Amino acid sequence: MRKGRGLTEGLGGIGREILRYSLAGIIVLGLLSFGSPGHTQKKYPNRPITIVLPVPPGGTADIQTRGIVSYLQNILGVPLAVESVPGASGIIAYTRAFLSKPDGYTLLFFDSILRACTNERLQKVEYKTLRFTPIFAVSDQPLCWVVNPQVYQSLPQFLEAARSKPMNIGMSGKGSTSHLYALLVTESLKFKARYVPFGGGAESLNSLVGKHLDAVSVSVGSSYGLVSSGTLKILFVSSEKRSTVYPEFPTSKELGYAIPHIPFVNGFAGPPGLPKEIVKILEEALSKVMVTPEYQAWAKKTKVDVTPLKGEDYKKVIEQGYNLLEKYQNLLQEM
Amino acid sequence: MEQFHLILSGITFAFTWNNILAMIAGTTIGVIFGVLPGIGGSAAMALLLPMTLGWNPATALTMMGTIFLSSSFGGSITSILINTPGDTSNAATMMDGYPMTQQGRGAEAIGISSTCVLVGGGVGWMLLSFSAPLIASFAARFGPAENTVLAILALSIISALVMSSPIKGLMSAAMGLFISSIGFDSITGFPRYVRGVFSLYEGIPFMPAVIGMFALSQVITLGMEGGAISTVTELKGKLTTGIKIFFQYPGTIFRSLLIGIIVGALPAAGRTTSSFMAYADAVRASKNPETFGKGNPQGVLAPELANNSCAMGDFIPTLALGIPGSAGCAVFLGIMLLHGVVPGPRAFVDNGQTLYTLLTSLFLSTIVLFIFGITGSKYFARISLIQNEIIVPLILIFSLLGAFAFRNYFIDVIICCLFGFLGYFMIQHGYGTIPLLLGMVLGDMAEKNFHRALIMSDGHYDIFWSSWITRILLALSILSIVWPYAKLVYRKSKPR
Repeated sequence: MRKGRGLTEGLGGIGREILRYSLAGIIVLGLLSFGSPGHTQKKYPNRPITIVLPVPPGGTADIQTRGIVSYLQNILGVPLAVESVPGASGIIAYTRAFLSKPDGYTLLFFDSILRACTNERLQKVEYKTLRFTPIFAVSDQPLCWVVNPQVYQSLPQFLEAARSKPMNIGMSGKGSTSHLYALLVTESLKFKARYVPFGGGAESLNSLVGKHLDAVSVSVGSSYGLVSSGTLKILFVSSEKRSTVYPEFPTSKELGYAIPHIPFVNGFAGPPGLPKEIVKILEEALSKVMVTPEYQAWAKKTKVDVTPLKGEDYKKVIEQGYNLLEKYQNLLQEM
Repeated sequence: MEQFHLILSGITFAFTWNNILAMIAGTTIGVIFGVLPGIGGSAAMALLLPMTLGWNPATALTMMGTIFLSSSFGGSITSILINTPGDTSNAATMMDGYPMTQQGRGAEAIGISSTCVLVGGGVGWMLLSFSAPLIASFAARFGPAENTVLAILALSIISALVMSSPIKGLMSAAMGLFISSIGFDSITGFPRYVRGVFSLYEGIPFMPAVIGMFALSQVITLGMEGGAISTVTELKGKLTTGIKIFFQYPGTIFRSLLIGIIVGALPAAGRTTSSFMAYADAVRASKNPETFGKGNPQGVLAPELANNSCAMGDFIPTLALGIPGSAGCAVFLGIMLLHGVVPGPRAFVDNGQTLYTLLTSLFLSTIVLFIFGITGSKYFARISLIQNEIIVPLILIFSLLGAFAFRNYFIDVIICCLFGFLGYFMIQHGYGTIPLLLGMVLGDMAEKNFHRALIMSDGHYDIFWSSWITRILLALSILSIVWPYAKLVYRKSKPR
């Protein structure tokens, strides 16, 4: 036991050094913070902007946000901090952004309109989806209908099989965009289905590879790796026109089926009451990012869709999603 | 032939200065972040991601991959020395690693853990390099029904752990299962036992619970005892003792490797499950199960070996199918996409050079970790000689910081404290803590997949008997429940 005492005494010298440096650091930090308050009444933006991201790191939305942010901060001239607030189906992030001060320094990367609406309906939440201030939408990712080509080669073959048995359809969670799309597809193509919720696109695709499911409703991006290698097959995509990022996949319209379009729009939104001038500055900055050749090259490489949409049009899309959900809420409740 | 060329150019690139530097930097950063509780490899990767955006994809992935791989080693050091896990996957290591430190054998335990990095990483690396697509297609056979039964099998190993007091052990496991039911019901979307607290919607987070259960309860004990963590003043173990001990248990080595690789390749289960399973398996197979929890070297060997081979195994579905095997790999997958490397069966052809560079660097990283661990073990172990009045406040600060840093929610600090008191109570009264943690880890996996399987079969239970995988797993579960007791009965009936 005494030996231990000796060792800590030995550490003493180094300890003092560490203490001295930490103290110096604290003093410097303290001095720095004096300089910052808004004496310089420069117009917006004049300090770092926080972007609340409702998804964990690694997903499509995360990649997209980080890609855009790296170009956006050059244009705005202030650093942008991406704050990942996953959990509780996005409720924590949506609430945090909704209740923040409408000064333009806290923005939301609005990843899924439908998810926000579903939460609003099922849980007691403090935000209202329609009251967010839409700023700029950056993409409209197509969803798709994926099957295992070892089981179904084509849509007619799939429909043929669907006549005799209920199909097991994988999707990511009750009330999610992929759930609604699965509902719309089964309704339009008139077959019986059982919807199996998974933790996310990847998990359900794994079950499809193992032939445990008949089809999966998922974003094209999540399934691309498996589809490009031929392990899985996309029967059709949800967009009205062929996607610019994935021109190789046919739309349902081309195949002769009218399946309602479903918005899977990602964009930036602010808390309610965000002043128009700020929205305008951000709108312009984001429009600039969208046409930067470097951003477009990056988006092409990482397969991120580029469908810019200004605030007013973005607002309409959000309302459209809200109404769509309203219409199908009874079906979505069933499980 | 073309593939061979890709492999060669990948290996060549791995040995360029830039890449070696990235590998060493990644390994070092991984160990440092691994040592800090709560901030595991995923957080380190996410933090450093912006820096690597402009890099060559191969170099960037090398850095990120080595961070992910080496963070678990850093976590094992703190688990062994101060009973504070760096990551949830290190939780099982504490059971015997920490008692070894108390007996002055901390250096030995770190030596064993270092050897596990090299052997587990090496074997995992070979499988990953040469048979990833094959293993991935096997893993795809695991649907909801198979995953349910796998979770049941993993739960059944509790049977071997609670031999000395089955009632208390089962109570602890049941409590773990109950805790795992808190939060969103992921199938129906109904929140359970959360009373409007949104930060609990994802359930009770595992990391703060583990930190509380082990580190905080230990802080209470140490604070009352005085003295130092090590009860002996003379530290035992030479540089090579750990390596020698490692190779004394070929049976445990083989089984732990197998568990690590299989569990790693399955997207539904991760490193934490594999290390607990390997630990319980070592207890079950041992002739003297009562020596576990009291500093049996196998109790360090089994979970660490499984953990390290599982980390490599995690990469298999990530690279070969584009399906992340764990939270850490999900981040890694995102980083791959960010650099335009699309994972999937064609990845080894389309981005062969990049991926073979990554694989080579991962292997080099295990060698660096091994050398680092073996040479440093003696010095790290000295921590156990520091007086409690100095080390205890430090552990307390780092534990609470870790609990907070995990998700940046203050409620996690409260959860950590509650579990600290719970853990102290349970340890004082002879309730095993491992069954509770196993229940927490596996409850969610079992429940979700059970529900999914029943949706798919329209409520018919025969889905759990429909494939040969489920049948084998079910048979193994029954065997694993009965076996420890059968062995006991057999030994008693045997005439001396």
